[in-house]
Amino acid sequence: MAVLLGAAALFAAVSILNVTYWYVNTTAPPVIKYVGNDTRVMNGTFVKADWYYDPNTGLNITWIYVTGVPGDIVNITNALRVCNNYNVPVNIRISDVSLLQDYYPGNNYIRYMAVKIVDPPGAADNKVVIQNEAAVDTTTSYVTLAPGQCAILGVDLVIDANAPYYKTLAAYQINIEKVPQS
Amino acid sequence: MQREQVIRTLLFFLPTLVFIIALTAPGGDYAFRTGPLAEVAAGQLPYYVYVSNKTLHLYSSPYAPWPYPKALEVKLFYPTKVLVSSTCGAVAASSVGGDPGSYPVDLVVPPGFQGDCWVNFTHPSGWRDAVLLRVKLVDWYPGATERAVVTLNGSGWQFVQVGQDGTMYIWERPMARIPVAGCVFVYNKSVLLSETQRYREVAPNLIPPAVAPSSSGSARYGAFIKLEGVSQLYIYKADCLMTPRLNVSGPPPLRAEIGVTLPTPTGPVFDVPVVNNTVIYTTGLRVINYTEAAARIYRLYVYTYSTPVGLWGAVLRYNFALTALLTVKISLFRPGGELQRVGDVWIYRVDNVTYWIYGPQPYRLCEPPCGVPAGWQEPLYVVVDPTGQWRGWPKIVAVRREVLQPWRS
Repeated sequence: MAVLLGAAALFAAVSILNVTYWYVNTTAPPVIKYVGNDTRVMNGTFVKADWYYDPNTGLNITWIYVTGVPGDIVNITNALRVCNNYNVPVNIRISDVSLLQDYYPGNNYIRYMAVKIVDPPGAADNKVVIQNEAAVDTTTSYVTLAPGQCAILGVDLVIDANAPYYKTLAAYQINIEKVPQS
Repeated sequence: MQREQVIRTLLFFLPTLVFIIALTAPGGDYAFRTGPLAEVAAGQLPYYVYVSNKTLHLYSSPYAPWPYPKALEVKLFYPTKVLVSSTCGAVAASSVGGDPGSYPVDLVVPPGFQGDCWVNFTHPSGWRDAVLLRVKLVDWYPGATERAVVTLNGSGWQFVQVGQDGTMYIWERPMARIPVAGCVFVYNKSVLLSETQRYREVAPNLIPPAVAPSSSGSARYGAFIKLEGVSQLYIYKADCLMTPRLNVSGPPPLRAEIGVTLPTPTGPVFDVPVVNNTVIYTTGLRVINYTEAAARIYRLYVYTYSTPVGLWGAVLRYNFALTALLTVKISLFRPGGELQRVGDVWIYRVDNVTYWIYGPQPYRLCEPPCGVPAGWQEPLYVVVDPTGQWRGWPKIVAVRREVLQPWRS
């Protein structure tokens, strides 16, 4: 049958062209990220955020700096707020955690790091987890944000006591995935 | 003999004699016709030949014999042959003819000839005719009716190619459109050795197309010139010369850091390409090594080529998938050393070898991280100079078309 269909296509003599035109428009993003309240603690020593424009790809890239204390456990409960910018519910999740750059290869200074959805509660898996610098839980479950509602993301950090002070240890790519609901 | 016998004999003998003559004469019954043996006239001549009576105003070339096929026509009215000769060796045949009819005569003007030349037609019967060839020596490749004149400014060896669509490439990089596409290159009063290499699209429907050497597809004609300042290259629309293949060894392996650093859950990886297939093409002048390779997020189409002038080259074309990945290093081509920007090209110097690159930035460290490129990237054209003599791609100063005109009208 496939052969017959292929032969029929070969001998087709009639084609009909439907002309369409496509406008490319823009709209606002479904969520807007804001720095969390903990960025006010010690003038952003433990968490701060910024963004920059990548001219080669045209992307806006958000940086989030989190700072641990070697040998101690740091809980940042309000590092980033992600707010629904639409008038429909938006599902969000943290996804695809991956290690982008290890400034001290061979030294697992980042013993534990979790980025978690503090609010709204109730996600079956509300955090992504990094252990010994490798991501072991790369994606959370979705949580639903009502129009105007904000999710609060927090960070838990355990840095090895032998880690140097005032240094950047590693960079992770952590995506925030948004799915608008109809 | 009685009078009746004489009359009877004559009445029988004379018709018989006529009949026997008619049967045995070489021309049969033509033996009894009158009129000229033959006529000589101009035949099928190109537009640039001026004809006046039995005088042809022709061109000759310093580069090769200039053929004028079927330039003359001999109309024979008798079944015989006429002898042909010329005072300048313009006629190869020594005779034409046979049965009555028209016979073309090819003329070939020897290279470098200038002046008057007679083409003589003779017959043992005493018939004769002649055509005068007035020949002018011209700096033009024989047989071509038009040429592109490309004025270049540069130095060192340059590899020039012309595509059938008129695109002019220098070291594989498209540089200009020229009005005449052809296979014969004349530079510095010499006809250059040339090659023909076909190129095909590696992916359909791309604008501009991504092409690579192939055994099929559109042909490009190539030659090497050595520039010293401003000079002119002539490209003629003429058939390619049959030239011997130069003994050129294959291109050296492309030793370079090629890839993109990608994040993964366990740590960054350098996404290097893995070769899928390799094909070698040997032209009259070069050996080309075409390779397709694949990595996690891109495909790489690359060809390297060796040359007989001590340099070699490469062309790299990347097709990246659209991803949301960030990276800290994009190395499209890094043979080593520090990357420098000189004018519109990038340069690496590794030991005594200079790598000249035209195209997107071949190496970039992103601090902060940047996005991975998406889609087809502009090609990287690489010229590798171990000689230390090359000074970059030349400038194309002017391009014009010239058409051969009759030298007398």
